[in-house]
Amino acid sequence: MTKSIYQMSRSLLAKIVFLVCAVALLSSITIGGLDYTRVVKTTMRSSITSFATETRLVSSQLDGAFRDMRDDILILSSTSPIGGLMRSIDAGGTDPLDGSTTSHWRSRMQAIFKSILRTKPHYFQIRIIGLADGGREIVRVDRKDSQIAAASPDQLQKKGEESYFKLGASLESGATALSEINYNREHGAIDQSLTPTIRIVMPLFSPRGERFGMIVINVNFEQIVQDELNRIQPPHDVIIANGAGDYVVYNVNKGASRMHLSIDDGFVQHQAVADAQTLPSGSTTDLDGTIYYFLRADFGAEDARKNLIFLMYADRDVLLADAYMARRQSLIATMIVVIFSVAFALVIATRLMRPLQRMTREVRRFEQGQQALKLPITSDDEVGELARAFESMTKGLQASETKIRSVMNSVSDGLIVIDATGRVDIVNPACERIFGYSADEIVGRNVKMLTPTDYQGQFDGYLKTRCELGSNMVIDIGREIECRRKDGSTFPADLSVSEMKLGDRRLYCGTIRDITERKHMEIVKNEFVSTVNHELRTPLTSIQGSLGILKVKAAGKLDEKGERLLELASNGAERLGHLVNDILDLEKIAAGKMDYRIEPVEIGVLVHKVVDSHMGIADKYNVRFETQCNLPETLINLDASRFNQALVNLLSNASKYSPAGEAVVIEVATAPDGRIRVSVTDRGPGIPDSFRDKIFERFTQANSSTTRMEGSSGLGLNITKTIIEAFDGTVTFDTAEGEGTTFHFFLPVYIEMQGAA
Amino acid sequence: MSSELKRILYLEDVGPIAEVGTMALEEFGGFEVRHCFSGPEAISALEEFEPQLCLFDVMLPGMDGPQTLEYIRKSAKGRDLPVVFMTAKAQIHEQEAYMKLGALGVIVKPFDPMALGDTVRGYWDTWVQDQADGEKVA
Repeated sequence: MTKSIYQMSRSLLAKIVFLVCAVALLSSITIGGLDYTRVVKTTMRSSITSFATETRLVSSQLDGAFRDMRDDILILSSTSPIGGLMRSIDAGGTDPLDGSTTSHWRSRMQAIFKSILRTKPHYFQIRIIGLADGGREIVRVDRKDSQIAAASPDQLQKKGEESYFKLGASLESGATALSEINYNREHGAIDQSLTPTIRIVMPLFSPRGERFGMIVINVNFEQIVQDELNRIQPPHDVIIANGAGDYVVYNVNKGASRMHLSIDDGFVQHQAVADAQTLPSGSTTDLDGTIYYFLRADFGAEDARKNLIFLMYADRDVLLADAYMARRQSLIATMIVVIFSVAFALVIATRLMRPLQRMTREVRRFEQGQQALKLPITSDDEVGELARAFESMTKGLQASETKIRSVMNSVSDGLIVIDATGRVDIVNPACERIFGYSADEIVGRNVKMLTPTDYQGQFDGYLKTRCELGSNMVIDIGREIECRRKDGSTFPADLSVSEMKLGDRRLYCGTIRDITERKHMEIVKNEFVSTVNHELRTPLTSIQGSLGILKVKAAGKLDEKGERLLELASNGAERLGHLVNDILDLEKIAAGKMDYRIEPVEIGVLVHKVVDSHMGIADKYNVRFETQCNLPETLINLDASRFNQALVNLLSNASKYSPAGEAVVIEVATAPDGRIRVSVTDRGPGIPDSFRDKIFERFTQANSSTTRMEGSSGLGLNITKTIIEAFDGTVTFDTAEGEGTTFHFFLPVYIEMQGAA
Repeated sequence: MSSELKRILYLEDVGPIAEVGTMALEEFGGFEVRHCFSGPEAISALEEFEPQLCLFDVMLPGMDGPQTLEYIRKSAKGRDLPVVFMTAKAQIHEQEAYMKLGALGVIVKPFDPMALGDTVRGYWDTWVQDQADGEKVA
């Protein structure tokens, strides 16, 4: 029992714990998830912002470098040796203005170039190139291996084929332009040092406005970029590239890489750089777990290829490291919360279960028969509610059970409940009293033990047939059976049986009443009636007999008064005789024991017989009986002697009320509804209106003063009606005051049926 | 056996009824009546009176009508004697019981003294007829 209680509470417990666990888990995950998403968004946003800031910084720095280049070339273009060189070369070697020679101006130019080179470490060549002589250099100063040296005239090269030369030759006065980036070439061959070079060119025009040549500064582009990057030290990796696909990669740890030129052998375009060509400036892309922020810097160059692209990028995972950590922390927190919740829930739920477990134990104990039920009715919560409801229900059930039990105990008839096999389920104390057994001796055994041995076989059959009648609730009422007491004595009992359905069990409830006393009383009453009847008839016989003979003997010997007195006495005796007969019948009717021997009888023959054998009545009242019967042989189900009684009643009434000499007509015919009609008609005074309703009642007569003496008891019609109705017939009459009365019997024709009584 | 009824053995214990009955049978029936008050008396009267028919009241103190009949049936004279019972027990089942004892009929008290003789004669005639037809009344 403990285990099953534990099982029950465990499942509820498990549910509660599961619920708590689920709630904790769900809320933790939701909050954690939301938090994580937020952190990710925030982190990303701030990363992008910092990317933007950093790249703009790099970009603006580089922009500064380019601006410097421009400024430098502009300053150079305004120095006096520029004009001097132009004048002296134009004049064939000597400056007409002050007489300085070209070489003079040249060396002054070289000095300026050197000083600039000294201040600008990433400039490595400054030249003035003329248009003449295929673009021969006029002045050139180089930095080579940290040595700054001017080129001697025989070292000056033709640069007419170079693209930057062509660029410079096309520029307008005052304009500057940047070349593409490529490797420096000396004497037609790429310089061994493989320096990515960008050149800034500015055209030179003579005072007369003729194009003279250009100034070119060669800048170590790689150096600029690298230096800027290393100086700024952006927090994340950066790629600086241009429209041609040349790029430098700056790694936070390793610093700036070499510049990769698109003209290199085996150049592989950087994927991000390629993608970035198409994206708008300021956008972000996610490429294989790396977040790229892209900025395009427009340095005002007409050639898009010269625009620089800045890409700052970092591993998404690195960027989101904080978020990931937050997520991890959140997960750990979730698990801790869940574990604590489960533990907490277990503790609390177990505590909650206890009153329920206790209640269950109490109920089980109660069910097994203990009286007191200790429930936690003082609890405030739902358990308390349940306990209170339970208690009131059990109290109610107990009260109702007590009530029923006391009814069963107090009833004076025996109550027995059996199942379909006859096994006794319940007996009440009255049964114990009736049969002399104690309840224990009967319950559980077959009810047959309460009937006499020879009856028991019958009883089995009774149970089987009766109790299989299906859904009839009442199976039997008032059946008389023989019962046997514990001491072996038998007694008659009145049994009523009804069916009960209890769930899916069919049970039968029987009421037993010991009718020994009743039967005894019946016998006593019968004997009494019989005795009284006999006793009354004895003197009546003497009276009637004597008077009967006297009337004959004294005929003519008495005066009128004497004869009248004799008449009165005789009638009185006759009436008394009828009364005695009628009372006997009445008693039988009242007891429901009027015995009829009903069988098919030919009605015409019967009527004739009755009429013929009672001619005495006709003679007595000085009337004639006339019988009319035109029926073919017709059978009616009736008791011949009782029918006799009924018909004689009609005959004597009709005779009494008919005037002397008249006929009493007896007719037998078929009625319109198919029944047989037997009618007796007299020509008497008729039945008054006032009497018509009461004619079939007991002890009523039409006119008490005139007819009471006529020797009838007033019971005749009542008994007649009862008799005819017992044959399924009806009695009616037609009457007209002053003309006569006809009484009718309507009787159904006997139809032979299978098994008719 | 003559076919006309003459001698009747009448058993009745109530005096007045016996008087009326005897008078009715003798004066209006024209029979020769031997009246007895009790069963034993009737039994002894049987021998010397030699009745053709017995009219026995049923309810008698001591030996009642049926018992008397049973006794009579044992003797030679009484074995085949026809008997009619007379009784105040008017209930049908009671009457039937007496019929079963072999009576020709049952007359119910109170009886009509004028009709008594005819009734008895009627039973006798029927019985004679049945005898002649070779059937015994069961």
